[in-house]
Amino acid sequence: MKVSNHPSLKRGATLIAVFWIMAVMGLALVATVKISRYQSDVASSQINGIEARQYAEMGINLAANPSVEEWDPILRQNFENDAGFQAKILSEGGRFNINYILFQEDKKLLRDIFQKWGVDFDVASEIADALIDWIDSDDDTQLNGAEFDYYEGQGHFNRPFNRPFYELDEVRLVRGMDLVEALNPRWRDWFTVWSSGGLDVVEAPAEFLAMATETDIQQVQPLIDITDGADGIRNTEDDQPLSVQDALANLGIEDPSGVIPGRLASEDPVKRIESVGFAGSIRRKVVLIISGRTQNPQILDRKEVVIQ
Amino acid sequence: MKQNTPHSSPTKKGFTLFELVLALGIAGLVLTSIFRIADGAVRSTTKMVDMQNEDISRDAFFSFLRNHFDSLPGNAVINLQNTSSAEPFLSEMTFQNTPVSFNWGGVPISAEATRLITVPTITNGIDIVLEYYDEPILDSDEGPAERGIDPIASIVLLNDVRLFEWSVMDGRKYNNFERDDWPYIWEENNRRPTYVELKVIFENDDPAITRLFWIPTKANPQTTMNALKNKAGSPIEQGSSGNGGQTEPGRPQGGNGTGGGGRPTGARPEGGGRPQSGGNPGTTPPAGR
Repeated sequence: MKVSNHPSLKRGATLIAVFWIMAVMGLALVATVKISRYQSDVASSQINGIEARQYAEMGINLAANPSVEEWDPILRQNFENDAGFQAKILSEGGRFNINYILFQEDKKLLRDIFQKWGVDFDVASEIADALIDWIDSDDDTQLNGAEFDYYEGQGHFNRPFNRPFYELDEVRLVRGMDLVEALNPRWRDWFTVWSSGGLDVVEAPAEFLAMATETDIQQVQPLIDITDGADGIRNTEDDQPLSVQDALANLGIEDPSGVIPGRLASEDPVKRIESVGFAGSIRRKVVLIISGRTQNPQILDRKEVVIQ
Repeated sequence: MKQNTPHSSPTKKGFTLFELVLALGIAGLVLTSIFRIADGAVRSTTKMVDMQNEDISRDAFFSFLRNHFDSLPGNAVINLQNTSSAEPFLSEMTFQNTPVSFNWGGVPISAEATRLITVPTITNGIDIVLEYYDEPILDSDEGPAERGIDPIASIVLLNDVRLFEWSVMDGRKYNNFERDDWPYIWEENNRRPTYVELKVIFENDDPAITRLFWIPTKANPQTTMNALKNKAGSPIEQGSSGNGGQTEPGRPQGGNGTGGGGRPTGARPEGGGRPQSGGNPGTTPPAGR
């Protein structure tokens, strides 16, 4: 073996060895720092999570106060350290009450909604029938419905519940709703089980109003312009009240059968209070559904929901 | 005569054996210490990850409980029983009229009743098991096992914890009890406790972790839906109540749609305190703890 005897090469070998040692020790150092940072992130995430939830609760408490209006700036507050909350007071009537629709046996409205999401007409009819079978107390199957025999065959001995839905999660148990969920994973945003009945003509989005009135969004837009007031923004001080009769007159709808008017309502006393608390990058959302907020408040539902 | 040797000095002929041994020794020492540092870093990383995973799973367990207590419907029935009077204290917390409150991993489960039970292990620990039943189990003084009712599904939520104790508080009687003397039994079917407290020790040397859960008082959905139905002028035939934890006319429990009748709502015996006897939980503080 040929060994170099040049002094500068010997020094070079030592230098390389030192570099190697420094590199390995550097790696160990980086690993240690990363572990520490990870620990710190987890700890701060837990602390921020608790803090964010507390701020969300603060927003709920403020918004539940009957003297606070929907547009009150007190509902949006920022504190030190990038923490605070944003609360909203909404009408629960801004969503379709699925129980109310089923009580009215308004299969057409359900079919229209499901078809809009891409469900085939026949399948939409089957799902509508299955929904009615779920809430009626008898075991008589609708034309394309699903009663106990069907669910028993699926291994579910306590379905259908034969009562109205108490939670939207129960709707998922109905035959065919898996398909609806696959086509529209945000179907819950359309429905509620807690409103007082019909769709609130002041609070409902244009898309929902168009569906309920069997028109299109362009046709209901003038109605939205009226209710949103001069600033064109919803939930502000200049929002205008509107009765169902005025809304129908504005849309030029005359429905002697009463089906379309029966789908609508105004000034729903059931309110949905949504409060998002945040601390750093962590956010928590609490939703409270409350009736009689200004008189005799009663909690209908309350849950923390995942923010997407 | 001129010598033709390339190296005039012996030091230029190579390393001595001593130098090689010394160099190898130093290299060995350096490599060993590097390996130890690296190994230590890897070990501590692994340990840290394990600890964090454990913390995350424990947090997930508490979040699971908090979310479900938070979202219990207004007509939910809660029953808490103690099933042992000596350590490890065992308990059964039963929920009824909460058909979808304990959905698991987004999978819709409809249960007439759910129970969080403690099961002793051979190491003197406790497993925490969530059981789903497709029949009501609070309608009789006998437990589901005595009546031959098996759960339709069971999930072990925690393995081999050291302590798992529930206590409850009725908000109306908050001033009647010291903080450490909350009852360990709840048998009032027509009311829910305002607070539920859980004390857990996960490992032998761990400190006790206490979590307090608030159960908000909510409107009974049955009443709300009756009002809604009247408003809708519904042509749909509707019983006074339905399935999913409710009495349902016309169908036997878990049955085949023939005959049957309303589900009985038998009253629970009164009891209180850690021992399995005596006392209304609302009025008698537990003893023997």
